Amino acid sequence: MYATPISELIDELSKLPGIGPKSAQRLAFHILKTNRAEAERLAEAIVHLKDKVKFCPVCYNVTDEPVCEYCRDSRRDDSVICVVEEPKDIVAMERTGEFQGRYHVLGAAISPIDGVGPEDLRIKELLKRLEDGRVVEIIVATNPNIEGEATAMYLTKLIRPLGLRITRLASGLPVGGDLEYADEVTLGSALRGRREMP
Amino acid sequence: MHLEKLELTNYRNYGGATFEFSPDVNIIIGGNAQGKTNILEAVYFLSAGNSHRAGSDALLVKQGENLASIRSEVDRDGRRLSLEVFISMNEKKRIKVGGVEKYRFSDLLGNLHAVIFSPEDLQIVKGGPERRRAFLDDTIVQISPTYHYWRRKYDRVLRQRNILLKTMNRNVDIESLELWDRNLAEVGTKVIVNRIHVTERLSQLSAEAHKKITKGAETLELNYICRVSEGGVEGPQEIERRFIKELIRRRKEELDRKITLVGPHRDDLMMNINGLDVRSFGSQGQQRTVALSLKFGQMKLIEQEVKAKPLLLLDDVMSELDEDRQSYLMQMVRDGNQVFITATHLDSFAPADVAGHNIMRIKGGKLVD
Repeated sequence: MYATPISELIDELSKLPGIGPKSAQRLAFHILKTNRAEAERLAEAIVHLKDKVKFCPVCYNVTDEPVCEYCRDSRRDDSVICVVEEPKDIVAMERTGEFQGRYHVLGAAISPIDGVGPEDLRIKELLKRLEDGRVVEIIVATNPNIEGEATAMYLTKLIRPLGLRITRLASGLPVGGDLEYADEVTLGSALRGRREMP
Repeated sequence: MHLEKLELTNYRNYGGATFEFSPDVNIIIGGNAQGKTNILEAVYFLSAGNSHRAGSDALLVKQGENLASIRSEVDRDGRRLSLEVFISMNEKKRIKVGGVEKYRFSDLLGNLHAVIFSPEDLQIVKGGPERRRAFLDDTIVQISPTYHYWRRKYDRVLRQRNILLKTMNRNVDIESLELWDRNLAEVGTKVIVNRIHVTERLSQLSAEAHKKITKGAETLELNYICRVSEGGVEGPQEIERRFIKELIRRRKEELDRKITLVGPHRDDLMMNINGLDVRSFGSQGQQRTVALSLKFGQMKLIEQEVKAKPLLLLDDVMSELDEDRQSYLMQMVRDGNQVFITATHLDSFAPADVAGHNIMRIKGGKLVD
């Protein structure tokens, strides 16, 4: 058995996602070997994260400002909201440079296995944002897996009566790919989601 | 299509072993528990993506080891292709096709086709409905590139829905349940449609084999038993519509029992001989013959669909069969397929059946000369 401080750190590290007992042990001994300043920086970074980063009160993105940068930016389009599961999905959407509207982060997707029901998502908060009538389109950008689809279905059912346009991200062929290399499920999905030529 | 080379590392009782095979008949001789079946199992794994007998992949890793691998060289119409599978005790299994790592496990499927005949086949007839559903699924996976995806997706939806039924408050969460109803019906319909289609084809092909084995005395017929397609239906939309209807009809019962009662995970495959259910009315001998006919049907179906002859893996079946069925089997397998046969002794074969074949002897996880 290790001395208490080591096994305490191993226990804490192994609570992190994707870190098993062996990785936790490796990390703990790595930290033990580094100098004190470096260890302090790591500890501080973790505490800072908890102190400084908050959820944006409008869209629930993570931010260290009172309101997040996408909600603050007056050049963005107020009439479209893109609904995502996690803050990291905003980063992915922003990398495209194609979207100039606002965001809303649900926090998760509906998944009974993980104990997440509709009441655990930030849906009430989304509906509140739709009250003033400025939003005309909701883009549902939840993941294309069964939990993301179930969440999309639930949202659609709730929002449809409001008379907004509701769209879902298309799933299908990767850009620049050849048809012959597409897997059958993806190609099948692209076929079902085909669109009229303009 | 044939397997040229197989290399097993930390697989079952093999620390490290390399086998080279004849494109015709390979006879693997060895005592009990020496590792004959493990070779066939590894070959089957390359075609189906799972073992034909182990429930968990972890059982395939040699005791005390962490990582097992199956590496192979396959000849496809003169083109060589390598297929590799790495099975780890604590990580996801990984595959390489043609030396390139593939991130979707289903990319392994469709590169090598094999049908396994083993004494456990009798359980398809005698065992519970899950054995018959697994038989259908194993067949479809080899001929339909998308089925593995839908089948796994169905398991996931079913699990989500069952957990919801166990944890939900039945007075307030009905809307959530309806969400999973739609998912279950949509994905379940894909599974049902595939199974109905394959049952029709298998029924015809297995009946042909059965007729030959019984010298015309018996007519075999297969039917997919599925509540939501009962009485014949007009295509997938109709099945999905009836699926939803059935979920609504049985909702109260599902809420009471807290488990999903509608869907392809409750279906069965019915086998009749001359109009009578083999499971209830068939003799042991008839049931054995039906199991054999089912496998021949599977073999023919794969052959027709992929336009190549699948590998035939005969695991210790000679001892189980009477002379008539043995000779029929040997006649069927001399049709250009690459064949792998295991037996404890060479004298379980008629001398004519052995001449000119590649004979390998196995002892304690090693090839002996």
